[in-house]
Amino acid sequence: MPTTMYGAESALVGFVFTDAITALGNLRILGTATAAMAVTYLVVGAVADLRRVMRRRRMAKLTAALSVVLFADEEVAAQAAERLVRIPASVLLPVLQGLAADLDGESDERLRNIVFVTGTTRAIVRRLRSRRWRRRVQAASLCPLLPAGDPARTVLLDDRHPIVRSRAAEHLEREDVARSAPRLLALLDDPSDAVRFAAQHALLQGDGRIIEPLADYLREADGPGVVWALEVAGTLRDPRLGPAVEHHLASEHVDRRAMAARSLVPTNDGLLRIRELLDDPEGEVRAAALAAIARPGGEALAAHVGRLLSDRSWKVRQEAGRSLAEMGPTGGLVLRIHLSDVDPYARDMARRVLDDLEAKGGRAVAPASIPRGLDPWEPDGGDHEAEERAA
Amino acid sequence: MSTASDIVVGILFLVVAVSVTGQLMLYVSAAFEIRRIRQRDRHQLWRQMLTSPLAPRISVLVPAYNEEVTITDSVAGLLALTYPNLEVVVVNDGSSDETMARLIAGFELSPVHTAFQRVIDTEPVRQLYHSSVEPRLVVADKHNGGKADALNAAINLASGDLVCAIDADTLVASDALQQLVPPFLADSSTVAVGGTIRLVNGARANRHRIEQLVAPSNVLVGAQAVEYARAFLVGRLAWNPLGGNLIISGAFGLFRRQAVLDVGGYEHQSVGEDMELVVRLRRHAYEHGARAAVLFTPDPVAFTEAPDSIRMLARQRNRWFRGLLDVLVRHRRMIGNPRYGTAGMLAMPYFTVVEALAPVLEVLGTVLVIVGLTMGWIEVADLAPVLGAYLVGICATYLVLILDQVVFSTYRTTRDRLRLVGHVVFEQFVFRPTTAIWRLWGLKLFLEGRTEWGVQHRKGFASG
Repeated sequence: MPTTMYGAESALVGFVFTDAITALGNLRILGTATAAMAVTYLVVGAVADLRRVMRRRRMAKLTAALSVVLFADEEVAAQAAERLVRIPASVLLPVLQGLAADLDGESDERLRNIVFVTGTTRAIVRRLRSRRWRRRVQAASLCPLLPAGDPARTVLLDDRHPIVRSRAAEHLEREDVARSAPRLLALLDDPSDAVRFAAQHALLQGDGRIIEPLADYLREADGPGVVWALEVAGTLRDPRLGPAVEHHLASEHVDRRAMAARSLVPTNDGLLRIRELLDDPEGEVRAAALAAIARPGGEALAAHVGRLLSDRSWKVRQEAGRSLAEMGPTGGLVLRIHLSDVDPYARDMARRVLDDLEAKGGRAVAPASIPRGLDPWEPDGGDHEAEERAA
Repeated sequence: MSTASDIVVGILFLVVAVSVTGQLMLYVSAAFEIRRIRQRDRHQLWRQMLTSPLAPRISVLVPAYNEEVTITDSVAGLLALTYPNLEVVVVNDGSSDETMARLIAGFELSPVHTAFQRVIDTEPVRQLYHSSVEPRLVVADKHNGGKADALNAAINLASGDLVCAIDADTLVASDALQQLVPPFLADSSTVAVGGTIRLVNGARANRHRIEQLVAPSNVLVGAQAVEYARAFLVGRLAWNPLGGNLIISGAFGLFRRQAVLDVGGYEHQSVGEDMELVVRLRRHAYEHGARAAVLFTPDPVAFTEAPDSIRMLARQRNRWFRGLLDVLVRHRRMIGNPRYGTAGMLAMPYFTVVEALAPVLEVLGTVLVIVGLTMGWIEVADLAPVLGAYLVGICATYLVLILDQVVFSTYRTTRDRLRLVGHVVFEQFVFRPTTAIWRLWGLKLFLEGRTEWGVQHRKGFASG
């Protein structure tokens, strides 16, 4: 192609007539490639649609067959189970995986039976031992289908991959939690936050059965997992944990003191401990102690909680308000008394909590207005916005 | 003249080569990342654990300004999310329409005393409301101060450890929050996680949920659908393994509340407040010797309405571009500075060279080609790199759509996919060059110091 030097007009003419073939050639390449990609996209889309429909049908059939096996009377269920034996484990596993966590009682027993009869147990065990972590992740959610008491059910708690460990903890059944409590408690020190959280979740599934190992752990351990164990204790709020938590109440670590405070129960000794913690120098600990009061038995400290409506920390004032709101009539009375508190912060919080209670359908209380210039939430003081609105 | 010709062709070749190499790098990175995420998240990861009483509380922050058409639907949709430990904080940012009245009527709101902890300074809150039918809802009516100000007010009011910033017109998939939370549980240094945004125009909504996503029939919206798919599935995802994520969409993102409070919340003066916050979070972490992970996870989906008129779209694009420029200028110290790790050495230079300079280069390139052809400086054969760039662009877009189809099955009918085929061509040859002009307009306004948002008109999901 010659480089034209005859000015714009002739160059344009040159482009139109001389280079048209090159332009068309380039455009043809572009057009062909675009069309090819478009066709590929449409074909892939159609194939994906087809696969989705087929998978959905297969799953629907399988789920229907499984529901007969799980819920129909024994004779019908036995016939349906025979048909399931012919289905390969790779097809059965994803469906069983979804069911494993959601069944209990007789249906759970039947499901385990299907797993045994269809030879799926072997497939699960193979996955447990797989070198690929993705397969072990799948096995973790299928472990509950293995026979009760089988040590393989908890083997993945010690897996080298953190995602597998966390999945294994997440899917532990209640009886396994009780049996593996010490290992779960050890996982609270795991460097992976995901594993630690899963272990906490699993421990909470164990309810009363983990109290004893948890108490032992709280008495003896001193690692980073103690805070998380105290958080579990704070969620369980079992009075039997009181003695084990006791020495953490005097810990030099603020987070440990706060978590320990949350696990206290407002009865007898617990009430005394909470009262002491309400005077802790750290706001976080005072707030945690207030959270522990917000339940039956806490009314005994209502007047003390009322005083904390004037605390220097917003979090403590807020928690004090919440606790009083939870205390029913006693708390309501204290809140109303503080509507005329000399401290504007206390008045403000009391008024807010009572308004909240009223908005949520509780007892109606006429809000006391804060005198002009004393409203701490307005930088220049006063309720001037209300006046502006009125104007 | 041959020198001029060589220079022009050389510039074209260089621009195309840099652009294509950058894009290819991101595509490869995105492909690996999507494989990794799918491997990690299959088998319903975290499904049980997020029902735990220890699961973090999430406050969904909804800034609303003149959103009377969509506000009750949006809030009801948020309250219907399946996440167990949830709070919804709506801030009416001095709307001049019926937004507040609709909220009061729709959720039986009662005024409560306006006491809250003002950690971040905002325009005054006129009144707080609690609902008698929905205890998880908190509504604040405040003086107008802009979106960033409304979000800051909502952060002040929020009680959750995590805050989810969304637009008032955003619909969120019912399990989207469950999928955003795991990165926070898995790594305590995670400060923000974003999800995919898809366009709701034309989709069928029922009871605040999207029943079926439909490819838009409007070419303007269709081109945006293609662009969103590419931006989220490649543009955001690719930065995960590189550690260079700088954008969490303002329409849907989850943040650690304390981290946001530590940096002083959203920046009032920025029109790109979402990107600015993320960059500031990362910068703050680097400067304090901490780590701040910002991640994008493609599965959780939120739906938003795209502008369907040229005027609104132009306004939106020039605002986005001004936002980008504002962030780059504010945080120019980070660009190429090894102190800021991959954010400084990789992401910020990329956003400066590829994103901020793109409209200038695109328009300049087009002008050069036209002038060059007209003056005879270049021949048609020399345009091969340009056509090559278009070819790469189209192929890359189709690869994203194929990936989207295989992994997420976004569009489920052949008709939808046929529509999308047309939209790809329109997006490549018409939409992109046009947005370059709008972005240039944004550059002009930015240099003039204009920071206004402009008006957005909503049609509402029910009419979709």
